[in-house]
Amino acid sequence: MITLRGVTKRYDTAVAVDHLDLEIASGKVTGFLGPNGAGKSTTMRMIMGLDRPTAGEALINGKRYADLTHPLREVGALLEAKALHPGRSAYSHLLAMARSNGIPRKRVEEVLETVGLEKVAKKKAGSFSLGMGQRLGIASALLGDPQTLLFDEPVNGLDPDGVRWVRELMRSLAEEGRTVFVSSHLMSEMQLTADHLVVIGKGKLLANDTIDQVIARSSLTAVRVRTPDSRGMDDLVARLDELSLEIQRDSEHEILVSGSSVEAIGDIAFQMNLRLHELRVVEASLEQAYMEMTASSIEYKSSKPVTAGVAPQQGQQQEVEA
Amino acid sequence: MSSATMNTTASSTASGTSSHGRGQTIGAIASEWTKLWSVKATWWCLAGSFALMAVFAPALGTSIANSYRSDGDNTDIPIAHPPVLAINMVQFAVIALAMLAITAEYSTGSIRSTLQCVPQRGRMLFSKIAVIAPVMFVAGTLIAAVGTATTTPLLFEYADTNLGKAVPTILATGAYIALMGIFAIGVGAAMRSAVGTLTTVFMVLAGLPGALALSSSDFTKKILDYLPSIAGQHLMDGDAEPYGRMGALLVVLIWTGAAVVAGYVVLHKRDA
Ligand SMILES: Nc1ncnc2c1ncn2[C@@H]1O[C@H](COP(=O)(O)OP(=O)(O)O)[C@@H](O)[C@H]1O
Ligand SMILES: [Mg+2]
Repeated sequence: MITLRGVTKRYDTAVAVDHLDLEIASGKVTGFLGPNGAGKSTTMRMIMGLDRPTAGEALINGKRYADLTHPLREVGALLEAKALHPGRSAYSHLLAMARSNGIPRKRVEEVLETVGLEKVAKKKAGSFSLGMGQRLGIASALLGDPQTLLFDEPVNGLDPDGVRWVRELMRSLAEEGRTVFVSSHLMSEMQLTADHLVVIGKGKLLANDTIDQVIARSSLTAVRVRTPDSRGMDDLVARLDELSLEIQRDSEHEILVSGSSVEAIGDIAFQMNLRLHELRVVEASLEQAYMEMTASSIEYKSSKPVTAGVAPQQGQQQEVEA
Repeated sequence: MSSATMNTTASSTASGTSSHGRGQTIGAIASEWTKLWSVKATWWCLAGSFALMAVFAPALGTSIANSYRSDGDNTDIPIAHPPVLAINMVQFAVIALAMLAITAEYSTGSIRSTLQCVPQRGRMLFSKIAVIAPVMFVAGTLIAAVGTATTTPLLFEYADTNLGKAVPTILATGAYIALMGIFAIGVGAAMRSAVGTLTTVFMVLAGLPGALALSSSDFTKKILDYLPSIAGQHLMDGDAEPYGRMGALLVVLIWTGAAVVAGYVVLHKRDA
């Protein structure tokens, strides 16, 4: 288990991590999500005792990293930046790590096999491709057979096969009861891997929820209403307008209402004596919920940001029966 | 390679990672030892320093012997003295090895891996010193021995082959090199960059004494004796003046200690 208590990191120029309070539980994959520059890597470095928090503390199983007797046996991490000497072989790199924590040599061979690098183990790490480098990083994270694992953007540079492999690896680690904390700036990646989501933006906690809750909370989750009575639809729209709800008129017979519920709209339609052929929740995609959440905290906006209240586009949404 | 086995850690408990009590300081030292010998730079530095010594010591010895001959001088040259003079140049090749042990970790990013293994800054620094210092001592001693062996025949009748003088000088050379290795690790931990460390070490060991030697004032001459490379020469040669061998050792130790403290303070304060 990882515990963050008021963890803050202030650099000369800006606050990278702003008072994070978090508990990351074991037995599941917790996705750590946020746009580039949100403070994910900084948070992970603080957990690993590499960077010192300006305020607050980061604990692993109740202890600071530096207080762990054999840290590699309790926590394994693949951090963002390369952390190895390019002139050293993969095997020697892992062996040096193993020796520091009294881990038997045999374990080095095991993890090399696990990540599929046993054939290139004697080659210089500097000659490795990005994907092989990531695998070596994962091997070093697994080396001490730790209960807690951190992965910072682990699929960067991996081919689709490798991405799938990492996903399965993280799932199986969580199934073994371990704490798996994995960062990404892409929701699409987390959607497939994570059980639980922690979203940050500009160093601040934006969400700490299950995937379902994140979706349900999005204002982009809307209600689809369809009626054969186009006159009645005009009246309904007028009525909903009075309640200042966001309405998207898709056709004479169809609207999409955000900020309300099927129950409320159903009741209004009933009062107006309006026949309905369809009344259901249209869920925002996780991607949309994430974009909405982080829109205000993206450091470098690329194109037009998705802002709250903008009607979602059809097709990108998952339609769910109400 | 892509679809590696999924039994990630199933077999790991079998290897009993948690039953081994080692690690800690012993482990940290073993790890540094493994790291030192698994990069080529270590071997290049060692080979380079032996080669440099084998060139410089005989050259210096010959030139001293020749000047004695032309001056009709009758003084004898202690056989381990030309290598001591050569150390002024050769030391940089050996010290580079110590410097790289820390600066290469910063330039490659492997310091993050090292600190994940050994998060206590003091223990990390200590384990590097614990590995580098003995290696440097052995290297320094062997280099001085090689220098002595290759130079002696070229000194001809001027050779003072008194082993009671030569052996302490050779061992003192090992000690000086070991201490300068520790000095370089301290400076490296404080500066982090290889260029910054090299510049600083070079300035202190060669630049500064070179500049001060140009001055004719007695005061600067006195200062000179308190610089580590000059004190090192007194230490190796076993000069009675100005403070004796033990005094020279103390001067070098103080420089070394100061560098280590500086390195520790920076390690403790700054993020990795
Ligand atoms: N060493 C540093 N000095 C100054 N600013 C930094 C440093 N490291 C990170 N930052 C800043 O902190 C913020 C968070 O960075 P980071 O943790 O790398 O974000 P993420 O991993 O979520 O992309 C960014 O604005 C980044 O520029
Ligand atoms: Mg990052």
